Amino acid sequence: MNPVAAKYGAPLLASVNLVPKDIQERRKMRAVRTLAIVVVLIAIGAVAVGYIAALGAHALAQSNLNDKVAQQTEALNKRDSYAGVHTAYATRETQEFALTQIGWGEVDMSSFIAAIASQADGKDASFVSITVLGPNAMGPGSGVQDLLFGASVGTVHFSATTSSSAQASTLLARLEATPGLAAVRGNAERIATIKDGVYWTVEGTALITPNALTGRLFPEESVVGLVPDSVLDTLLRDPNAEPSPEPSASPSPEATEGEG
Amino acid sequence: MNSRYAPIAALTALAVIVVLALGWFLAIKPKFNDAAALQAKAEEVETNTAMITTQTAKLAKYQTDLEALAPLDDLITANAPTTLDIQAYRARIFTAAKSADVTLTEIALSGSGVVAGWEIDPAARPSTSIAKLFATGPVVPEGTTSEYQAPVTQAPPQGAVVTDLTQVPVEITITGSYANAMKFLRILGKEDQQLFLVSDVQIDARPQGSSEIPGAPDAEDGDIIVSFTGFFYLLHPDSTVVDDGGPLGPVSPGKSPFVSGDEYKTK
Repeated sequence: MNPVAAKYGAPLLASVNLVPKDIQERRKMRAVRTLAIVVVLIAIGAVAVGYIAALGAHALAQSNLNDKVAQQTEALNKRDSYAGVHTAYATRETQEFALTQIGWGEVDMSSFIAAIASQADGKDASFVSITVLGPNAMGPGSGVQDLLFGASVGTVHFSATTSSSAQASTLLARLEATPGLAAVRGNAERIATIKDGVYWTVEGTALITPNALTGRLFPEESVVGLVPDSVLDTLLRDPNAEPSPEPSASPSPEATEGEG
Repeated sequence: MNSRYAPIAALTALAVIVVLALGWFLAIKPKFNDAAALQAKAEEVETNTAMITTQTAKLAKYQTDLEALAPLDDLITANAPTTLDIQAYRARIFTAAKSADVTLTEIALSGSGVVAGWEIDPAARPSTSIAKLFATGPVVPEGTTSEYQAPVTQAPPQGAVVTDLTQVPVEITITGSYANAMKFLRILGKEDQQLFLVSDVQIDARPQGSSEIPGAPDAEDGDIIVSFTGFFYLLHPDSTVVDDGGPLGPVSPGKSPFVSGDEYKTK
């Protein structure tokens, strides 16, 4: 019952909807349409919200990438500031190789020759000539090396006069015991008359061993591992042998030819 | 549902689906995809940065290790300079001969020659390893280009490490007593001077009665003649021609120097 009817004591009768049905239907239809539009708008709003969220994620990722790129640039700049290290090492390698190559074959020639000469006493044995074919930057010393006696850094050829063949043997033995010499042998020995005296002459050959080398220009600490043993091994290696896998200096083909 | 509203409901549902689909595929998803791509690129850049940082640490270690070694510059300057000091080496030989009291009978400065440098596998050279540490460039975002240029672009080439080493052979002949000749060699080879590598030595006895050598005392038993070849070495030889004087002006010819006799006798 509506309030007016209740106020005036209207009988309790069933209410009657007097609104025409078509009007009621139109109202419902408007409500439904409105609801449909609202739903579509909500969908559009959801899309907008999602798009904004995506934009935010994109912006965040872009910002993060920019930061990472900046860090990368900074790291690159720092790394590239060490470019001088490469130059320094290349220079050091050149210096080590240059010093080693020019100095590996240095022999204290005064001491070496004195050591050889002192093996003859000047009475029972004396030298007529001594030839030292030592090494240099181009390679081991020239001179014929008999493969039977091995190869070394150079050769010594000498001519001596002794009072007897026994003294010649003594001289050869003493030379053999001299540091820096090895494989000492007489190549040609004969009796000869010199100034009315009869002597035994010896023309001999010896190998100069690495013990004769000063090695003073070898770098004490090498960045490329240039140490006397490896250098000498390489220099004296049979060229037909398998190359060593270890890093070591190797003479170029021109260097091994040597000029003496 | 009332069948009258069904079309509206269906159209609404269709519109919602269309809006959501279009919004997702045309607007939202591409942005998220872009964001994911940027994130992936950022991770790639981060990984690259970590690699570069590691390389930097290795380079710092290389630098520290090198600084710990005794420098070789002084040895190089002393023993393998860029130029041959003509006056200095001549003075060195003459002074040694005078100090040792031997007669210098001949000096010959032969032509210089290039020394073929020793070779080494480039992989065994630290500079090769160091060059590789500069191989990593920047990772750049899509659509951008990098103008980055690595400061070290080349590893050492295959071949000789030292490519410009020159030797200058000097042939010398002296005569004198055995002791003095050895003294001469000792003075000449002193270690506080430029390396003069005496290589081939020929020693011959010069007994009493041997033929006369101009300028040398008469031979005595025990005397020797020493002929040898020594080498000076130059690294990165500088062949620049330097003329200390100014432009040549008119010069009047004086007394002829093309005369022989007492006037120009060798002292």
